[in-house]
Amino acid sequence: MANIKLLFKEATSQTSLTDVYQVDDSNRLVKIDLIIGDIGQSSISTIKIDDQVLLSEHLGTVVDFSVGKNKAIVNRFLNITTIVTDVNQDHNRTGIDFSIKGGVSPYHYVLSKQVINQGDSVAYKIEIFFYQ
Amino acid sequence: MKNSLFFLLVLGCTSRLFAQTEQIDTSKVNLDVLKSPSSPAFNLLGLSPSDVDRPTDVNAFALSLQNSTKNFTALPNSYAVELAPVYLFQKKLISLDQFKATDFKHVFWQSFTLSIGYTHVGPEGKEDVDSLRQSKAGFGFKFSIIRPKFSDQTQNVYDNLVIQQKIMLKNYFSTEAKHVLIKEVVLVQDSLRKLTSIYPRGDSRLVSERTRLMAKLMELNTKINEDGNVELEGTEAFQAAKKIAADFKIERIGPFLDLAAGLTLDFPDDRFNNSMVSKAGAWLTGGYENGNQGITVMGIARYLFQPAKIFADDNNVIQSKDVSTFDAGGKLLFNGFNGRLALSTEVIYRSVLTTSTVDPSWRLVFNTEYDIGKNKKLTFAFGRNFDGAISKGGNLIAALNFISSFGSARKISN
Repeated sequence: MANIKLLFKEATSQTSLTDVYQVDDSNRLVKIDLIIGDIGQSSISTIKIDDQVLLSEHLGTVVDFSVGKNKAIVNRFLNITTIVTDVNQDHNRTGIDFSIKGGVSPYHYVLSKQVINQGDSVAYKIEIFFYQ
Repeated sequence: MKNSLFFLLVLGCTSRLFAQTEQIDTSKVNLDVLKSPSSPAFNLLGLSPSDVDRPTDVNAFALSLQNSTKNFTALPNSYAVELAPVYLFQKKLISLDQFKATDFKHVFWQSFTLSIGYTHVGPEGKEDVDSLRQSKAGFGFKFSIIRPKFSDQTQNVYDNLVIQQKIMLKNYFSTEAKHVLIKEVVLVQDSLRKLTSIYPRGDSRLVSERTRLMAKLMELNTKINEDGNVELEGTEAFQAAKKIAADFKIERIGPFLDLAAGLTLDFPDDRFNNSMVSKAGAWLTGGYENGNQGITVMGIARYLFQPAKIFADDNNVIQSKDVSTFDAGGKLLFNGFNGRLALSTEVIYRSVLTTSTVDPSWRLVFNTEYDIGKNKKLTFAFGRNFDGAISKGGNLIAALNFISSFGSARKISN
């Protein structure tokens, strides 16, 4: 029974996201939300565009964060690395609710992992390629 | 030594003055009777907390409703749900760092819970008699208005956790940079960047090539992330963070103020357009939380409409129908002189608002304890009770004890 539970947890876990996001020729800002979950968990994140660090060792959730103007980020890669530690003693859920807006259409994705032991940490990786 | 002599002198004098007074029963009534319930609606409805569903997202709530209504085909005999709206509307406020905040927006959303309950059962002891069943619904909420900040100790533990997380982040970047597949990642990224210079915009080959390269990049990134997580688990920082997180407890110091309220509606003929309020209550709890040191203050004000038992009416002389009551209490605790002196004062006021049959009454208890040596402790209690003492308007000494033990060096605890 324990193995089935473990398999289910593993099957529903996803800690890495690689995807594309369409931008346009405008000067409108492209913004991201990086919502850390689940309740009471602790996190640290670094956000880069290619090798340029936009936000270093940020604690917790990131809301409405601008990664650049549409036309300035074409053919560039957004890289987000986040460590989430399971601090809440009521559950072992960790996750990231990630969204982008400001480009051609809104984007939303949820990454999550249920850790096995209380206090475990998980490294999440997001890479987004901006194309026109 | 000076302190010890002073207390002996004071207590000696007071014992002569109040030697004939009777002892007050400090255990009979204390401030806990006024404490706000964890879920006001369920408390007023008489539902057990173990029967309550606590969904943490919309899907779980839908599932809870579906199960209890037999797939939306019947009303349940009993259903109770407690919701934290922060999950639905303010998910950005739920990470640990957000719980440090003490501004109203954070405090309100993080503490706000709604409780909703419904029962369709008979009176106590005849719950399953169909002819006696009556529908009742309960609604309640609670939230904090003022919340204390993290204590220095909690802040230090949190800071240590952050240090370990910073090390883990650096370790992860280092693992990523050294990974055998990283060169392939760079090649795929370069190919993706060059696509628009090879194919004109809108060309189908551009789309298919981009799709192919992204699939390759996803595969590489997934593998690197998996290996990075495995490597991370073996680091000292991972283990240190695990130990800190496993023992993490939030202790707060400072002023606090919480509000809870609820009401129940009876539907006498089981029609939802005919209802009456059968019970209601509101609790306001405030004070100053100071850990185990210094002064801790707590005050509670409680309003109840048609309570099951009227607190101010010891002899049950009035019916609770259409009766409102107001009770209040306060508690002050002081720990000083490195834990040797402990003072506590507790006061309770109780009244019936809608009738003058029962007069308002109040009770005051004062306790002090002083550790004067290895095995010696002075205790002193002073109180004014609800009953006879009120009519006399006087105070009474509850107890005056000098405890001295012999032979053992163990400290006497309270």
